[in-house]
Amino acid sequence: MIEIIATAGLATVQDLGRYGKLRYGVGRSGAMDRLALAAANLLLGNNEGAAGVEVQLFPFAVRFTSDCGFAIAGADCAAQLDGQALLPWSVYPAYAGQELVLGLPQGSTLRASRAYLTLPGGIDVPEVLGSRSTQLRGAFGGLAGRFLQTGDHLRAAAPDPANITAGFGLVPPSVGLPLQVGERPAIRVLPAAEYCCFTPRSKEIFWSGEWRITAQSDRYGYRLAGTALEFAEPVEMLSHGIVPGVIQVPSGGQPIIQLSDAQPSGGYPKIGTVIEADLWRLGQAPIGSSIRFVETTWDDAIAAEQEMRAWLTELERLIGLRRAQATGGRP
Amino acid sequence: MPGLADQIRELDCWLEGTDIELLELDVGKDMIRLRREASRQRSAPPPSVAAGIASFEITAPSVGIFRRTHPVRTAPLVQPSQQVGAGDVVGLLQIGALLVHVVAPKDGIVIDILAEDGAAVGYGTALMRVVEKGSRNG
Repeated sequence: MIEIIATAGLATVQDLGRYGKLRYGVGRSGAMDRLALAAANLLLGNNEGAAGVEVQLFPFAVRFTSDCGFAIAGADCAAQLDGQALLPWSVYPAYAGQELVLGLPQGSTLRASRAYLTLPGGIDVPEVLGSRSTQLRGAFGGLAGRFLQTGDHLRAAAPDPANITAGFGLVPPSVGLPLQVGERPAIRVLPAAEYCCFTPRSKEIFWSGEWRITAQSDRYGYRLAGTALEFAEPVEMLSHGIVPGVIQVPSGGQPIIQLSDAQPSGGYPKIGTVIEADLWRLGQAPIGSSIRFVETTWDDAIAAEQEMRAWLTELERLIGLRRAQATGGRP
Repeated sequence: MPGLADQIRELDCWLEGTDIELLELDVGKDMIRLRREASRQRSAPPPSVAAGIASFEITAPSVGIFRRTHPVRTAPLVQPSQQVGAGDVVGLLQIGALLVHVVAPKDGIVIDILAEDGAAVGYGTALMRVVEKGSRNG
């Protein structure tokens, strides 16, 4: 059980997303870095899809109102528990009255931007339309469909103060599943339906250029800045269904990547779609940083998904062994 | 099925070429525990440990690759002559993607790192030597 004692805003309860509801015009929401949320859940022995807290602005502080284990993943935010330094991507015990502070994300080349905090069994908020993710536009899901505020209380669904297995962590995916082109994080993209409408020069720019994530970027989408992309001929489209990862190009030629809280439909031409397996990389790229796109194929996208799946399965196995050893091992 | 004595002999051969100091293995309803008798050669404690000052070793709580620095950080968790408090994580043992925390059992000052960064260590391997302190701020 935790009480929010300090937030700079933009923190929400998220799980892995609300699937199967785009047909009703309800977007997916969910963690921007689903890999970090899944890992933070696995560290506690939760289902990987349990709800956690996504923190986007720092510092963020909570007070434990009862004994409780917790895990943190995502950005290394110099976390401290009652002033004692914690390691990122780790699980720890907390006792009633202790305060956890997530500070500013650190690091240079591998600096991430979002952190995840999980509790045993997941954050206990009602499921709405099959998910505990916060649907901000619709103002439902998560905690009352809104950002967390100072004074909010969140309960763990399966608190078990007597049985906290802690004292270990994980090698983060930025190290275990690295993907860079030069010094920049690389994002694999499938050419989308209107890819053919762009000039050959623009296609070249798209793949070889650096794209800066502007300040007009958030959970809805990232507005990128770079060399303007041009159409071989004007394209006018009716609004149609889109999914997180779609990269649209409005008439100004600066791409927009639709993300977790994107609208379920849009009418801009689409040059490409970020593969599902790389959405977490995008979710961790800080505002002001630059990224590179890498052209990929359907088969490679599936392989990337499988690689991510295998990484999580292996984590689950190693953590399971660790937890079994701690609770049932021989003296 | 090899008998228990044969299994022990086989295990002994395998262990010969490793740094493993303690092995516990469930074999059906038995448990085999093999412990290496001769202790490993250690350098003598550095001369700075004056007579009468209590020191202790922090040993590995598990097998793994000893890591002095967290993968996403650049500074080692501890350096010689650094103060540590009970409960501080002073090192990591990597097993695949898992990082087991090596925790200081008491307050103290690190005087020597005994295991090499990146070395494979076994359960109980001495990782660092710490001189006891009365209190963290003493």
